Amino acid sequence: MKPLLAFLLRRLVWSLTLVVGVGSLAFFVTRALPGDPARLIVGPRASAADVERARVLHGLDRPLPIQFVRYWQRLVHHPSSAGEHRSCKPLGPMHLDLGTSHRHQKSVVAVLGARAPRTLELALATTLVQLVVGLGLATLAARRRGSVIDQVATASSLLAVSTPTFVLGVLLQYVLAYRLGWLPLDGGGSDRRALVLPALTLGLYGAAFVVRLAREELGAALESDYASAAAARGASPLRVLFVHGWRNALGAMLPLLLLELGALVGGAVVTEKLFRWPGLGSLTVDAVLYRDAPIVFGVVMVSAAGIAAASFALDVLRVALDPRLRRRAT
Amino acid sequence: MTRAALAWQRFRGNRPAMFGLVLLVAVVAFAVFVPLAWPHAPNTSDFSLPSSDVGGPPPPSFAHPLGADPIFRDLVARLAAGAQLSLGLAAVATLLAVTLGTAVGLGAAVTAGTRLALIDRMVLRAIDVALAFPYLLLVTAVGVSLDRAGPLAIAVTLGATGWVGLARLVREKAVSLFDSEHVLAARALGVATRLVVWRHVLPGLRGLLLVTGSQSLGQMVLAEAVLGYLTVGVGPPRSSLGRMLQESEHYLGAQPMLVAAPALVIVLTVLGIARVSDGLGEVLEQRARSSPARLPVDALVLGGLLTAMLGLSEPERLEAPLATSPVTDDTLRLATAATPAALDPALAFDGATLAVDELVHARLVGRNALGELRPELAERFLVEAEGTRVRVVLRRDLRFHDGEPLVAADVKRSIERALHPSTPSPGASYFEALVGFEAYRSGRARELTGIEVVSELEVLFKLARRDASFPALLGLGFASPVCRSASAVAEPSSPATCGAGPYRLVEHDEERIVLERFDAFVGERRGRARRLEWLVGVPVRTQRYRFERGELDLLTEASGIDTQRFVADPRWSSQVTWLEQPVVDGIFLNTRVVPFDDPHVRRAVALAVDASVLPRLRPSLTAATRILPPGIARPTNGPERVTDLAAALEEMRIAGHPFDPESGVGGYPYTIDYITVPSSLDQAVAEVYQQQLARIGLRIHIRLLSFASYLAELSRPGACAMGWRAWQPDFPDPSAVIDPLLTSAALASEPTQNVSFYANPKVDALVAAAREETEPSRRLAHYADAERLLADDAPWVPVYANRSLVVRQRWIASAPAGSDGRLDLTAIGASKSAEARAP
Repeated sequence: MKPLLAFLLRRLVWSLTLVVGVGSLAFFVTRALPGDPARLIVGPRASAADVERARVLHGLDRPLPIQFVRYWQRLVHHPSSAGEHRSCKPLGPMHLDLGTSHRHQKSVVAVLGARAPRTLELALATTLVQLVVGLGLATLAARRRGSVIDQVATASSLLAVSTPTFVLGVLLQYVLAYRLGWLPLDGGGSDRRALVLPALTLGLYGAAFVVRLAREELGAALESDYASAAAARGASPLRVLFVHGWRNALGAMLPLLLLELGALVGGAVVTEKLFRWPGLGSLTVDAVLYRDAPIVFGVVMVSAAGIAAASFALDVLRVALDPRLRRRAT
Repeated sequence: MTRAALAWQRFRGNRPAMFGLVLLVAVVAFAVFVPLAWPHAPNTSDFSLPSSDVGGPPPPSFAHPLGADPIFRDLVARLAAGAQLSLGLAAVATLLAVTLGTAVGLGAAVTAGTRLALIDRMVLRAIDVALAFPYLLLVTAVGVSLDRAGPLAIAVTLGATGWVGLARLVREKAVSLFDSEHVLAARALGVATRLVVWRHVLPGLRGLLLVTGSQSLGQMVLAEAVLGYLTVGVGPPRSSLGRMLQESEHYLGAQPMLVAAPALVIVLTVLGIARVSDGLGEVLEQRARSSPARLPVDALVLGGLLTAMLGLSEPERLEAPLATSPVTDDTLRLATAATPAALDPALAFDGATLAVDELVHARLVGRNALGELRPELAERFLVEAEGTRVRVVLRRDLRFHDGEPLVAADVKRSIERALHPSTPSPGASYFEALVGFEAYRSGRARELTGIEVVSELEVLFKLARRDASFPALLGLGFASPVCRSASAVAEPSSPATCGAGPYRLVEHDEERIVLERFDAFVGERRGRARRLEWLVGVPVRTQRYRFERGELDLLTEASGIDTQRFVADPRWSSQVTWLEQPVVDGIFLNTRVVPFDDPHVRRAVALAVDASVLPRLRPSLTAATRILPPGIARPTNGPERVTDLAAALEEMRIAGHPFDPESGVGGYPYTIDYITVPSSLDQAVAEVYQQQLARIGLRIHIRLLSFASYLAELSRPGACAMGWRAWQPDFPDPSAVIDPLLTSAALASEPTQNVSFYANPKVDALVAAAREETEPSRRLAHYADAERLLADDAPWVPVYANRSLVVRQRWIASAPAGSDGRLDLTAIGASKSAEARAP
């Protein structure tokens, strides 16, 4: 068991390193942007003295490396440590602090916390669409390889991948929400159905990749010897599909889906903007345009954490599902 | 047969791949040949074309087969130019990405398994980190910092950020090639690594590079489209496919062709590339064909889509006005695209926040519809001792929302709170004239001695110098009383939402703001509706849809095309009103930067700009001819700007830059940067200016900056020669326009609002005289003289005013304007019960 634990531990450490690396990159990218965040906090009419005051207040006057160190120090700290705790959030026995957003003038943790659940919702719904549509189309295509259905499925998925996300989104919104009125226009209110359009937009795009992958796997599995043998032994076509087809396909699709999910945790910028979905993605571009470095840092950290978590989960699953890897884990 | 010929034969047999190739060739041919032969130019507006019958951009016609874009430029020409740019850009980016990816991947592979294996591992780790970083964010950030982003810069950005995945694939393939037999043999024979790479590994990578490279090309086209959509891509007036999508998003319902045409080109290109790439993959990597394609499926699917799109492409028309409200309550429902920040009067400075804040926090004084000061919380105010003392007497029985009485001490406390040294207040410096201001702001004094609480209801403001405009400052939010429960220092994270206004705040979250009428309010502006509800952050298109369905009672932010729709539709004509706002949009000319240090060139600009075409862009635009906007107390007769091309050319000649419009020879020899922000209206207007100024020989380059960068650039004296500048006076008085914008005293404050860096001693003298003058008509006369001087000298050219349309539902009787052109929300009744409905 020990080599296995060592392997997992190494992967965990790597995940954490990934998050730290990405976060640092984000810090320098946003600090390198031209423009003065202190000016933006107080607005265009304020005097230089007011700007200076704001600069000191938010710690923007200190040299870059010091700001960098301070950021990491404040990230997770003990409640009793020095300094103000205005932007902290309790996380078990410690405090989590991502700083204060210049633009929203609230703590970053609060802003992200308000939006993260919606992003997670969208991410999960998108993955569901990808799975259902992708697997469904792939099944249709794989069962009758070379048929019209197969060709239409492949062509449609290729078309979906070739269309920019927002064109697809605008098209869906126009048809389904405006002309037909079946779905709400955007994700602002409490209408649960508002999740459908953005999830469809993102999901159809991702489903195309799933179709391509799953179709290969399924096709190969369904035409394999053991599937034929099972059918010869009297297994119903459905059972053959489930047991031999889908299980293998899922194994191949799992990395793709999981990593996609991890990436979606960081929010989908264009789709969220289009549908006014209050998730993390729509925060991001505005944050860059307004030099709101704390928000950018926060979102990137969340995104990196999502990807790292997904990678790690993938490693764990792979090892758990494949006995060969367990023995080989070094 | 050679290997290449063999490969080509296999490729030809693959129907979908051939179809993709045909698509690609067609798009490339379109991009290359149409610009050469087409009679219309992609960057020239033709305002003689008729608008569509819903007021949108010109529809397809014989002379213009695809119609024209929102500023009346031929769409076919723009599409071809855009395709050319986007494809070229994508190709360069792909080349760069492939080169970088191969170099890095090979470099890592070479070191793998050797003593330098650490490099390989580190490169792999770095690739993982780079892949985990949100790609779009990185490209946006780079795009934003390179703000002179020409297409080459964009291409390099995309290429430099897109090589990472390729590097990993190259490395893996190269490693497996290094393990192959002939390479091992070569190495055993002692062949140098460089030679091994060149002769054995690179050829082996060819297939992978071609396939992945072509996939990359498709992704680059999409990436450029996204960048263009987010306005961080190619700048105006050049067209790229992404930019065309961004410019036309608003007009989707009125002229779907504007969105469909570039979208179709993008889809065809990427689809074609994908098919070709798949075909290449089959051929070069010896993959088995996944399925023999018999039908031209792509063509069928595309054809089906196109037919569906054409079927849906008739212009959207407005719904008929609803007769009755779907809900029956006494709540006035509105929406705004902005997201108001903290509702604290000490901190609020943007229009959206102020519109809500002034209902929650009543001011000491207000304005009537003519712009004159009138008492609000104050019962009366008196200017004494020749303008150095202002006495304010509060009304009796004033209450805060928490029930506590409002007395003079609260006024002092609230102002001290807004001016506290630790409060990041946007406008504290307005109150400089108060005695003891400096001592208080620097922290030396614990209180502001210039404010004296004389009695329970009386406050005396003591000024260090005469200031005729001080009473107007009492109308600002910084002087608005807040409850005692508010913190001593104003803080954005915990705003003082408790005030003494006609409405109190009951809910403020990410989605909505809800106010409820405060029945104990004492004053003239009592609210009529019991509740006010704003949905925040709602895009304007969605606002219109919601309004049509009765979810909103008033539509206050209609997009340009929707404005025209409502105005043109007779069913809605009785329900629309225009709000005139005292804002003027114009062009500032930096008098310290060549060529605008010469007043003749400035006058030429003022004479060349023609505002009469602007209403074709948006019906809400009206030409503004004076520096002092309407809606403020300004001199009745003032100098009006005219458009006179001949006079403009004459001014240019006098300035030493004669220009011949026929031949295009002469004019000012250097390109001038014009800065503006990426809102669709400002971009469109800038592109119109560009064409108009080219007629007198001034060539401008439009620089799009985010609002942050725009502000930063404005305050640097030598930085920008000209740009967009809109000005809304803080209070409706000429001193709030001319003093901060065009005097040398304004240059002293930092940052200065006098971005023309204009200093004219005569104007300064007139303004100083006006400041001391207590007799209103003489004061106005001084400003009239100043206005004449400024119109002649033209450091700032007023061009247009943007009225805003307000549409109300049948059940809202009227939507009156309050002071400063905003709706007076306290005067609108929202009762939707049967008796209250208006016919």
